Amino acid sequence: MKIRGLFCILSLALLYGASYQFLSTTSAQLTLSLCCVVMLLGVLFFDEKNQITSSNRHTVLFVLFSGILFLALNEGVKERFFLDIGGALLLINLFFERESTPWRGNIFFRTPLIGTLLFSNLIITECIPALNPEAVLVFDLLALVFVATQELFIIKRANAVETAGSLTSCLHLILTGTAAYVYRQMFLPQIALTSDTFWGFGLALAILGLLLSLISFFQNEPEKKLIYFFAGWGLFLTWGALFQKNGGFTVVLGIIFSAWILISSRGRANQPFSKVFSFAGPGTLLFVPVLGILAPAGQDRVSLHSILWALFFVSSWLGISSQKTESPDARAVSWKQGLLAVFTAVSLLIMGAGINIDFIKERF
Amino acid sequence: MNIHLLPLVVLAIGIIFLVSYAALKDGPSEGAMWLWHTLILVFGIFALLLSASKNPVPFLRGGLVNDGVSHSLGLATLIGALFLQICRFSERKTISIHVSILTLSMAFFSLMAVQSNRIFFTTLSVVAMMLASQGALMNESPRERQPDLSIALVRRCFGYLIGATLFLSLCVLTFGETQIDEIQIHLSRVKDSLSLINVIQVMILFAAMFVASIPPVTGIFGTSRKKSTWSMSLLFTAMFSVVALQIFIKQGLFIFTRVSVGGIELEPQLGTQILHLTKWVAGVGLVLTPLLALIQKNIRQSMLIFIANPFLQILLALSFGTREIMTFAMGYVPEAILAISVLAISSKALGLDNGTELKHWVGIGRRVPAQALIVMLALWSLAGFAPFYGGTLVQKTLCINSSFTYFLAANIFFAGCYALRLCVLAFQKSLVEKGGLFDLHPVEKIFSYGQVILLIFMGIFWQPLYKYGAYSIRHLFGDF
Repeated sequence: MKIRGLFCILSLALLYGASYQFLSTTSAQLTLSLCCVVMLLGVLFFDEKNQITSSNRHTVLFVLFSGILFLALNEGVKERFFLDIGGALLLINLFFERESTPWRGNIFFRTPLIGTLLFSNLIITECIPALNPEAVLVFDLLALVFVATQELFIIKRANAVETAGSLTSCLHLILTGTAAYVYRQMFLPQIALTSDTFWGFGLALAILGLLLSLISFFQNEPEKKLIYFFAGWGLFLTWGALFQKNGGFTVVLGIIFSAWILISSRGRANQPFSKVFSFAGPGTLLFVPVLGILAPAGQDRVSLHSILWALFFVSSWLGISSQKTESPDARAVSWKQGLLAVFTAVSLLIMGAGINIDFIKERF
Repeated sequence: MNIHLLPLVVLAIGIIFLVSYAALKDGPSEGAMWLWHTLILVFGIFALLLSASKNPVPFLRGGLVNDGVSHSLGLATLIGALFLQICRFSERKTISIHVSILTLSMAFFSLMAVQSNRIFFTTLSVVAMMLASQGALMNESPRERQPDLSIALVRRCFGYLIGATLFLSLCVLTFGETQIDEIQIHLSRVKDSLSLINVIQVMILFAAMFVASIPPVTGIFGTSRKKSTWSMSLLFTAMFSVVALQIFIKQGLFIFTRVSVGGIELEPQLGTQILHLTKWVAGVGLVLTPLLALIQKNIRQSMLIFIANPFLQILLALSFGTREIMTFAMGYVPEAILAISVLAISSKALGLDNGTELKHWVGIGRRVPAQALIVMLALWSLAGFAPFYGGTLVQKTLCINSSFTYFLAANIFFAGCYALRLCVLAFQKSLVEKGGLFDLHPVEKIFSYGQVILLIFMGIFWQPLYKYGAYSIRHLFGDF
């Protein structure tokens, strides 16, 4: 296990070295690569059940995923970037199928590979020159939504998530946030910001998020609640990355924190994961980026979206409060989760004290 | 001796050596035969790599040529033959001497067909390939089926020879020659009857479709692959597909097009329709192939149909005659062979016999998870999805402003559905407790893991394949 851990660390160091030397062409890409290394090292560190280092296939998946992610971060062409994302998605979902519990029945909302198929078809079809720019923009945004809502495609076999552990969910989330953030920074044409389609899409994202939280509210099974929440959280990060003018830094924080929380709290088989629900609640780690992303940006349309997202969180928290308490074992907090709590406190202090972190923000 | 002849000479000496070894040594060791066979192929590959040249080199008085495309396709066929040998590592003790010699002959004739500069030589080589491959496949079939298969083989060879004779006669009547570069020169200088030339084009395309078994043409194999080993069925089909690509490129595109002056595309000579017709062949094949694979209940049959998919994607890309896309397409050939090899070696572990149907497939991934996952990756690769090289080619091809790209878009959807169905069913709860799983030899296991990692890496770091494709295209068509 230690050897696999060392292999992962060495691979990440090599990947960063390669991106520094060969791949990154701008300082922004280099900073993103550095953030990516920190995030992936954190994932490795906070991996409560040692999912990544428990077997060769998990380690290989993690390293392959990291490699493709680094490539995606440093791509200069949108088509290649989406191909990288599609490739990573396929690997994660194939791995999920292999790791999850066996099932039977029709495939709709039972396999994430349908999401992969739709995503891949979208990104490939959008290359057809007959499509006008607006249609291409819609295809791009829809593709990002498919990445964000991957977990919804397994809603009918919710217990499979539990068995597959949190590794696939964590990797999905990293991919969601990274895809949206890099797309916004590198490939979204400036003219799209004046397009009604683009802003209409932002509203649709917020409404979809709210809808998911409402559906989740009426669900009794904690696993399903969790899936709805994470689909909503993925959409929220996507929205933050695409529409919030000053939300770049907090979106990155959101991706990193949620990835760490996921890997540290969802590895326990046969136990409810209700703890995770509370993470976006007030006073929890995810609450920091929530505040940052929802902060007023001085745009009416964004404010409207923010209100809808605030309703999304309120609805989600209400859903959690109606849930039964978890088993005593699930309530126990490990030292790694304690460390995450320290991070929370530090982040809140930084935000609360108004410490100038512009030198970091400039990079984003 | 001309160094460009070296690969063919190595293989020819290898065949003679194997025959002599089998004849002189009383009851030769099958393991030793396997080893010698593998070594001959390795030497053949080295010889081919050595013979790579910066400029196209005609040799054997214009009968054979060693241009970039021939080199690339020749390498693909030899690698396919080598992979076939490695796939059969655990069966080496059961391979008969005849099969070994016939398989090596198949590699020799496919290299001959690929490197041939005369349509006549290619035609004869294809007939020899048919005989060698069917002989090997028949040898592995049950004894009671062998007479039927022999009759079917004779019929097919006879039919092909009649067609080929007619076609060659037409070539000689029209162009006075069957040498490819001479025909091209003739076409650019003399105004022949366009209707006759169109007939020749159609015959070339039909011959290539027949060799590659492109739907709706059923191809040369018939039922001979049903009872043979899985690796041989798949890789023989792949080798025929590579030869068919040679027919499409050299006898089709190369003869009937020329590099447009100052442009980056090929243009048809004399108003011929070769590019358009090739697009139709590829387009219809692209839609029919995954659909036919989807409607098959027999897994083995469906996979045998589906492996034509990457070659059709390559063909469509080539038919646009655009330098960049052709370059990407040629780079895809080695990756396609690698993917088929992965499929061959890992499917063996799943115990796919002729009777394996969808109901037997359900839950197969739960019994042999690692190998099932590798098979799935190979299938997604053959379908043309990222992170494999096919995804890049498909994306580049779709960027061309042509209505034929909709065929490709449909292909991607249906091929994805096919791969998705097999993936999903493989990891469901098993319906039947069916045994028959095959435990791979550690060498085969390591080989399959290595191959699948290579497959992914070739997709992610696609530049070397692209450069190799550029080498192929530049040395056949020159600088556009």
